[in-house]
Amino acid sequence: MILIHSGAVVAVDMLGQNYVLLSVWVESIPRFSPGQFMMVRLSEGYDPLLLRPFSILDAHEGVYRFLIKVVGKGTRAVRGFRYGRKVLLTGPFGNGFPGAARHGTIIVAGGAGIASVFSLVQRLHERGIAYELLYGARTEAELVLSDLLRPYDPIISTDDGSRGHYGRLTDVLAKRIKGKKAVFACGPLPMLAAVADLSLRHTIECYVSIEARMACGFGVCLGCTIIDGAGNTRRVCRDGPVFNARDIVLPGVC
Amino acid sequence: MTLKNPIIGASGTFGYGIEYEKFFPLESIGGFVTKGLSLRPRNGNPAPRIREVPCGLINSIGLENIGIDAFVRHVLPRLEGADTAVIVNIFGSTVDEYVELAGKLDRFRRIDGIELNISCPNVKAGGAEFGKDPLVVRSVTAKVREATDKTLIVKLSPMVTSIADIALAAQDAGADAVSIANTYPAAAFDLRSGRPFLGAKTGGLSGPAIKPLTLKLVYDTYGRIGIPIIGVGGVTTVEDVVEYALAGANAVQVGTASFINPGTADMLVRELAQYLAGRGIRRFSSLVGTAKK
Repeated sequence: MILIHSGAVVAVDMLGQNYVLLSVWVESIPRFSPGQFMMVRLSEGYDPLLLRPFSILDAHEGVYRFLIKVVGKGTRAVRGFRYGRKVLLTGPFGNGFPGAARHGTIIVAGGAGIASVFSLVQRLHERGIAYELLYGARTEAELVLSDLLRPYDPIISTDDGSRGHYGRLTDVLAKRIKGKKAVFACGPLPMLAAVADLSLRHTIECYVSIEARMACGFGVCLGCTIIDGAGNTRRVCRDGPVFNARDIVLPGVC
Repeated sequence: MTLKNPIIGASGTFGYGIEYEKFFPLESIGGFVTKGLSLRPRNGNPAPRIREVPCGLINSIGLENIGIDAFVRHVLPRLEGADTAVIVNIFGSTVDEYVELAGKLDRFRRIDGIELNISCPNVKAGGAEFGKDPLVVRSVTAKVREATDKTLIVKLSPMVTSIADIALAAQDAGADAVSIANTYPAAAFDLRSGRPFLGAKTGGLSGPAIKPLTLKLVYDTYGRIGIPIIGVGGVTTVEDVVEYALAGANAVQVGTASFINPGTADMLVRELAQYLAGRGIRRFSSLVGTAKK
């Protein structure tokens, strides 16, 4: 399988103040599983030097979409990308969500975390597999994908009550977790820790997708190494980014 | 050890070689150098381990590696079919450890060379400390030389008063080549927290930012030693390869550039052939050191 791609920008859509939906046409049409990511080069020169890892939001007829939160020099540059701009991409890399093809999955997405579970939701929906999607953020303004998610019936919540359920995602999860077969989650670390804690207390399998700074994306730079519960090294890029919550140490989980 | 072309994957950026097989056939490049291996596995430094800066990357991996035994047992057999030079980078915290490592590797036919890492800025014991004093370099190189008949390459630290004197010491002690150089000690600070970005506080700088610095070190060393020089520092384009040759490098290692595009080393082999053919240059070696003549 080809892992180094030359892509071309087909659309740059601003979603609110801080998010960009980047659409890139990739001729080689790489296959991917939900939860995998690609490395995308955001500059033509050496500043920023490295590619950035982004979850593949979805892909349709060779157009790959990435939901990008604007946080620094690299991601700011994306806002100025023009139609037709050439973009180097590598991947898809990493392990996606496992065993997704069964009924009774609950998917929990906090903020930008929706990017790594979106294609999973799409696939479950297409195959008629029963699932529940919880989508939450601090405020309504950060629920940037709610329009795209409409066909998938998300249960929405905000920390400030500006939209949907008033409260934390995990409060919503606590009310709905009983009887579920698996929990798949992506979002900020404290949220993932709370989700994992809740799932493990209900003895429900929980998989979390985590984020890390990385230079290469394919397991050689060792920049994204974490130490797992057994004291062994795990590379987020290659051994993750989706981990069984039992195997890794999330802050605040015993 | 003879290389089929002067492009080598650099230690610390090329994994154990097998990670690159999905990008290009390893036999296309002259060779590669493994991640630095120690006697026992190492977990490395605390996160964060990398910090990007303009045109460069600061890392403080701290020599995380699977250990020499796991390497020879699980990785080496998988390299059996690859027609490329396999160079194993070794790291010890004492001279005895370097000797033991070299001795363990000596009996494996598949290993073409050993690169002695006496220049890592990210570890407390050993590392760059061994690379600073010509007498220490001479002694550690000589002891490893006795333990192995493999091609012996010494990877030098850039942070020395006279790199040519250090290279000379390595040569006198029996080294077959020198790699010039490792990363440069570097730091970056977070204005929000007021603290260093890296978990280990400081790290080593690599990437295009260091190319002019390392070119100067190669240039200074060329002509002072008789053994080949391998240039390592910021090689990203075919022009960089040629520039290193002009300065005096017989071969180059490609490091951080493989993070930007994992196919870089393979691409450079093809682009270098085109570059030379396009200018009627029959042998890469005819360029070596010409800037100094």
